[in-house]
Amino acid sequence: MKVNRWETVEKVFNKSVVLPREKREAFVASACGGDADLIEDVLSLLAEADKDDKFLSEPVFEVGAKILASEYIGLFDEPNFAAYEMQKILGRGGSSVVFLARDVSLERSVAIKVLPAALADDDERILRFQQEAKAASAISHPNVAHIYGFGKADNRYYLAMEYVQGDTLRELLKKKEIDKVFALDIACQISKALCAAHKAGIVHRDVKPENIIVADDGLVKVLDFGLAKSFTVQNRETNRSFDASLDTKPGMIIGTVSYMSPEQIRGQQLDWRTDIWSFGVVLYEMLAGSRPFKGETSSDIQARILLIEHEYPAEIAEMPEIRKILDKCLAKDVNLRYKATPELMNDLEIFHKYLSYPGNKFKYSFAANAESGEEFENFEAPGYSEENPEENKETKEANGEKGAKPEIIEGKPEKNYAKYKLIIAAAVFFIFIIVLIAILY
Amino acid sequence: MTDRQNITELLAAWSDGDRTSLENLMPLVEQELRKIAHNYMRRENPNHTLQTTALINEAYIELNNQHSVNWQNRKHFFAISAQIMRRILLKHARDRTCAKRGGKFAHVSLEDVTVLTHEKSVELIALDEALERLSQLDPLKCTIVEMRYFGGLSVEEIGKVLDFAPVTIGVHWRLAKAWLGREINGANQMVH
Repeated sequence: MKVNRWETVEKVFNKSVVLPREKREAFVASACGGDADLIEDVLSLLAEADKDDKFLSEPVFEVGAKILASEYIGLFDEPNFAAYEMQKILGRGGSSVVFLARDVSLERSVAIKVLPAALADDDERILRFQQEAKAASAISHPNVAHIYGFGKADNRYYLAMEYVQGDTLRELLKKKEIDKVFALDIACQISKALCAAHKAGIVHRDVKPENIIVADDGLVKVLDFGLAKSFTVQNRETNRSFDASLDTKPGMIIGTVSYMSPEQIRGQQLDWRTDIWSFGVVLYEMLAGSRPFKGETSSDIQARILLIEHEYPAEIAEMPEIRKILDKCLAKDVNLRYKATPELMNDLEIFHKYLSYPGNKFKYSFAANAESGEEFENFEAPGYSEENPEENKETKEANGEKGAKPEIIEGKPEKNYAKYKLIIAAAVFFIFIIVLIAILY
Repeated sequence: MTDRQNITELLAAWSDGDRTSLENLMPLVEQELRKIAHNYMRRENPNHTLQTTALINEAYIELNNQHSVNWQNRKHFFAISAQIMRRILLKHARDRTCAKRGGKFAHVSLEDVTVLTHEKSVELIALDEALERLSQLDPLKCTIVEMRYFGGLSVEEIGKVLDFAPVTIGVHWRLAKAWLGREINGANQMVH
């Protein structure tokens, strides 16, 4: 049935599409014998065929062939560098691989990002790569992964950087729930890194958990300035400029959708406030365990970022100060966001201090409250002080301090069982003796 | 090598209607395509664009000569090649949009930008889903779209491969394009 219908659609479509436009409708109506659904079906196809768009006009074969070629050309081949001894692959990106290597002369571990040899002549790719090196090396801060060097060896471009042993924030989020004190600690450190970058006139543009490493000792490093770009700000002295040729083309979206700011999705001019937005998404995710803007497809997510106001789950709703900080990060209007990154850093530090020492009373002014003129005095947010003893209790439990009780309960039947064993053994021995005596006499 | 025997056997099985042999055949053809694409990139001037049919043709000749494979007809080969391309592109498109990347430093999210933009990736995924539905409705049209869009063949070449007049291919193409466009735009209307 369905196939026949399709055959009819095909026949009518093919006959009507060659007719002059004004004659089509009447033809379709009569050819379909008044079947309204069928008429609608064919007419909508005709309307689509009339569109003079570029849909399917350029085959993607070439793109596929390029992907094939670059994948084949030993992306994972170990480069033969005199200065570095490759140890293992740490991971791969779109077209580069990151190796853990040993700097032979300085005898230290480094992470080396290497482009495949096939891209040694791809000027745009190399510019982008170089830009990442320049941007990251312009920032000297303990929370930003150091760049040791950039160059070409063995016909491959490489970027050597500080190797940080730890987990990415993404891995951490997957592994366990991050408690709020730790989350605030991480957030403070990220904000410091962003402060340093913004001070140097560099926007990261791709702040997300995958780009944040939490070292085993708790030190946070922001990496991957591959998308970074300088921005122009009036009255800013340290404005470095990078190649304008690397500007994203209009309509070209790069980065991960979930962490993109509304202006980034729209393809508008970006400044440091895009990082403040992305940071807000990361902070939200750390505290709530899920992202503020979710959707099945990336278009759904984008639509939410542009149109829907974020909501807070209970974990965040109970912390009014965090809500204020997040509201100032996730304001869709850039002008309503933090005006400067140090303000954000300050608010985070104060709140982190408060969370770490809940008994203390602080007097401070929150930048997030600047407009309302509100000040938190003797700040003692409801809920926290009550919650903390319980948290301590839980920690103790987790540490096994309360663990003795169940053991005793389990211990009892065990002891009784042992007793029975002894009685049985004694009985068997007794019977054995009797039998022995009986045999002997 | 065993590859040679494999390809011959698999191809024969596939021609006899054994669908599962296609799954085993594809990686072998893919390997050949990769090798040739690689050689092209090496040999040619980097700015030189890869000639579509040159690549597939060369792969076809290679497989015919070196592996003594007797392809029943070129149709099989071109259909397989186009499907391989579709799969490879789709995988990359998915990688780009999902950004599912593991590993400590494995997040060089932007460097494949020049190869496949985010926009293009989203479009490819939507197209793939629509093609899946088209293949249920009209497998021939699906093959034609695959060959033209993913395989990069011209209408004339597709005509030769499928043994149809180019005009006929053009007629199929026109309806397939309109149908796919309607499917994809219909889905987009909800978002925009």
